[in-house]
Amino acid sequence: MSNERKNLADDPLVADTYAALAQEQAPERLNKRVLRMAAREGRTPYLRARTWLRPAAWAATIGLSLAIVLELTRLPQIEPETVSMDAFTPKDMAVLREADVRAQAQSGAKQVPVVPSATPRTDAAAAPDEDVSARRVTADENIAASSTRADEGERISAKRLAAETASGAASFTVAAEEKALATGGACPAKVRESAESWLACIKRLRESGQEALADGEYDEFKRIFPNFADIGADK
Amino acid sequence: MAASAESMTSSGTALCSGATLPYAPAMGHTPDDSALMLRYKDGDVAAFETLYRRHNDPLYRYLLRLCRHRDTAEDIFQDVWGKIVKSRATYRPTAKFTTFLYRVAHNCFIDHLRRNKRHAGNTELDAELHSHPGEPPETLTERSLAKERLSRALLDLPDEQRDVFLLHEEAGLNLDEIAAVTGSNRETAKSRLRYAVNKLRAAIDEQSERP
Repeated sequence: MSNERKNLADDPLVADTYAALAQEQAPERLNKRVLRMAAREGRTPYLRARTWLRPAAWAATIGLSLAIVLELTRLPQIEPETVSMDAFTPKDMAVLREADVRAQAQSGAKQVPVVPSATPRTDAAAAPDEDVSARRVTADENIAASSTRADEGERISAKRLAAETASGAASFTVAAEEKALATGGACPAKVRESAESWLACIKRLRESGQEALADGEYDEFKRIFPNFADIGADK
Repeated sequence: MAASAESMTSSGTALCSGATLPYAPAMGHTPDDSALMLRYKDGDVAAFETLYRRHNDPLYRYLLRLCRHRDTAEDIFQDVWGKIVKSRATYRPTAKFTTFLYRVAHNCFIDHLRRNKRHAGNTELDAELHSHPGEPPETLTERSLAKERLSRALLDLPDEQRDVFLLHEEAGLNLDEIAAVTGSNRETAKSRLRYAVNKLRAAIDEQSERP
């Protein structure tokens, strides 16, 4: 290129004279116009989109925030109800107390299966059927006493519930003892927790003809409860 | 002049409207200008400004002396850069950017000649391009007189010869590149350039030998 250029421009006078002659420059207004046009056209679609994408995103965010705030302000305010005790009449208080008693009675009846021998029985020599019926009667009495001022529907339902609970408890106890008898073993540890129930168990062993077991259980009973006197279960 | 302009139009005016370069694959040259053009293609406007500042003045002088009319040269100058900007999406750096730029400029000038037939006789503004318009010759130094005579001789050259000379001097193109820009072959470009240089030298010497 340099050799070729030297050959072409072998007349340095022409080249130098032209170099000294050609000093014109493009006008600045023309430069600005071209560069402005290039800047306008040269942006990629992404760059062009970015000019309005950010304001649009801000506008959308602000709009959504305002919509959420407006929606929250329109919601009905839920305030906790404050009930003063002065609002209750003596009659209302009586009803509330009665409801508490009834609830305690029902819960007590329901606890029977969990702790079958929680309440010590005075009549330890009574037969299992008598025991079951006695419990049922007790529950019925409790229910009858607690529901004297209740309406008839509630009384019926409560009575039915108590009856079912009592019968369930009795059947549970009998089933447990029968299981112990059927297996030929002594009275279960649960029965031994109460002197009355243990004696009842011993009595049932004797009635079922398992005298040896009953004697063994009685000896054990006397060792645990030396001061407890029960003729019915004695040898 | 008009006939010579018509002959130049056959070299391909399609490039001025953004057509692909037929000579581009043969060059295989990737100068920095091409990298700037590719960056501009990706949205880097600053790269285009660098590219523009590198080429704006030589291109302006090329068009100014080729058109011999300042307003026309400025119109074509804007048109050329507009074509360059629009062609960025399809631009491939397979040719020297200078060749591509002056090819577009050459074709835009040819388009202008086709649209304005009166351009051939429009020389009333030629004096603007003289180095010292309106200044009496006796007050000029010998070098200033040489510049004055060269300027007049350059404007009197046929369009093809002036075009080749300006491409050589302003754009710094070699014969192959000049041939590619003008759509002629290498020998034709070489012949035109030699004629142009000889005429310019003769003009300078003739005026100098006068008493």
